[in-house]
Amino acid sequence: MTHPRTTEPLLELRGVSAAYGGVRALQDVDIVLGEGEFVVLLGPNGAGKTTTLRTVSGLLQPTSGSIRLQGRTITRVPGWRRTGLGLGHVPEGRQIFPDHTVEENLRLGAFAHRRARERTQRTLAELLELFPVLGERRNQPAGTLSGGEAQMLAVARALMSEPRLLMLDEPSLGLAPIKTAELFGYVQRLHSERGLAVLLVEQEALTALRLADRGYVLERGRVVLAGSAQQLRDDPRVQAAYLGAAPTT
Amino acid sequence: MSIDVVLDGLFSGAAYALVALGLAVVFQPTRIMNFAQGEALVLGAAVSYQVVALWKLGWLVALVMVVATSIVLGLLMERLVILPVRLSGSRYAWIIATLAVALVFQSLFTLAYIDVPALRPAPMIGGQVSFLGNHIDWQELLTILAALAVMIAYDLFLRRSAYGQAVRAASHSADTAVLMGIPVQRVVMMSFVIGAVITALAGLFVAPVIFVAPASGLLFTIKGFTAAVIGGVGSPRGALLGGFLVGLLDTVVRSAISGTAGNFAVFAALAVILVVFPSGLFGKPMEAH
Repeated sequence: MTHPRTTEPLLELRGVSAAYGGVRALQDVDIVLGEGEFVVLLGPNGAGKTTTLRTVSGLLQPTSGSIRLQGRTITRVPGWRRTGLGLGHVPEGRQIFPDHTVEENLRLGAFAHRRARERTQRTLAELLELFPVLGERRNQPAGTLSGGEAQMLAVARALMSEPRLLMLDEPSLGLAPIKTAELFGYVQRLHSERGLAVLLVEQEALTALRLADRGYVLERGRVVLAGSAQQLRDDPRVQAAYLGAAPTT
Repeated sequence: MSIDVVLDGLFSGAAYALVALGLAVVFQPTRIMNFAQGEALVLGAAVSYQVVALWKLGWLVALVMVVATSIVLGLLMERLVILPVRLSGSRYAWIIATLAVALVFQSLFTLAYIDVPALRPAPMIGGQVSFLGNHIDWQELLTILAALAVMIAYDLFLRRSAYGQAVRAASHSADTAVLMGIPVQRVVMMSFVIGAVITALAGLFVAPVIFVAPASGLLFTIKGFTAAVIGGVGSPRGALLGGFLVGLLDTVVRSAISGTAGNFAVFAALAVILVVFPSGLFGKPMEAH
């Protein structure tokens, strides 16, 4: 495994703008994420959080700006090639393949490395151990999983390509609080024990800021605020907009 | 009604099943119903007519030529259909695009074989074989067996191979498939090629027996489409069953009542089945959308 020079950030977005048809979705977005860092993207619906992740994954071409991953410019690299470059993306709404079994879903996650059979086999065994519930349901169609199990599967599937950076798009959506806590427990463990970098999009700002090292606040396609998790928690604008409704501890 | 009629029905059903499978193969990852699919059947018939009847080079050469030309046809179709769809950005551009492709190839085949009413080479194996006290043409039996073999092979490919799994994933969600590292555009291109080869093979097998005119592509598309819808679009097993059903109904009604009643019975059955099973006999509700 090659490690990039320490000076090089893992992910770097510079002046990224993107649009859906004629509608501006991102404007001049700068986001930097270091090796092993946990960064959260906050913001209201339609602020461009999902669009940011989609642009990084190559599902959407930016109209301008550049994206670098481990020091390599990937702006023009087609989306399907980026998975093999160390990018794992758990999309909004989980998007598991319901007709494939749990194991088939996981193997699809390693499609980029499908010729490295031993490596895939090892990663699969590791993940089934890490997520025992998936091991139990291994040969079941993924469509029969509960919401929490499906989200675990979506995360595990993204990990099958052994990414350096895991991007999660609102993983807590539609999950019971206890399931959310369980899920974030796993993410936290992957982050602290394996040094996996995480870029998290999350509506529950309080939970997110408790997990993250740093954060960005997006509004109408622009970064309006950036700082450490502590700074964001203490910022009156963040408190008013995102933490107001959250239960205080 | 004799067993002969049933065997005839199964034979033409095999042809419709292969067209239906071709349609399903393209439909799965693209959601495009390729109205030009039947042209691949005509290509298969035309190439085997050219090679076997005119050049007298034998069936092995014909088989190789049919596969080679249908690969090219599949690649051409992909470009001719997908490019306009992508460039126009319209959800319905595929209707015009696939019909246009169908008409283009229909004209080309008509021009090339303007004085040929039916593209009919000699059968691969002449004569008949006795079956349950009846006789069936070797060619008919071969066609039925070939349809079964192709169907089983494609089903196994979808379920067992990594690439087949990727095709199914891309059918479910192109974006998510990209996130898995699946080259979805390549999957689409491959689907057009596989679909064209399968349908062209149908042409190769049926040409010695049934009437394949140079301009009859759309007719086969419609029969195949009916079979695909009855069986449930997107399911290879459904395509097989739908094809046999359409073939049997058509032939049985045709022999029992009259030639024109066959088509009527087929489309009436389509209507009834769609009312009772909106997503076809083998389809999943989601795939009906």
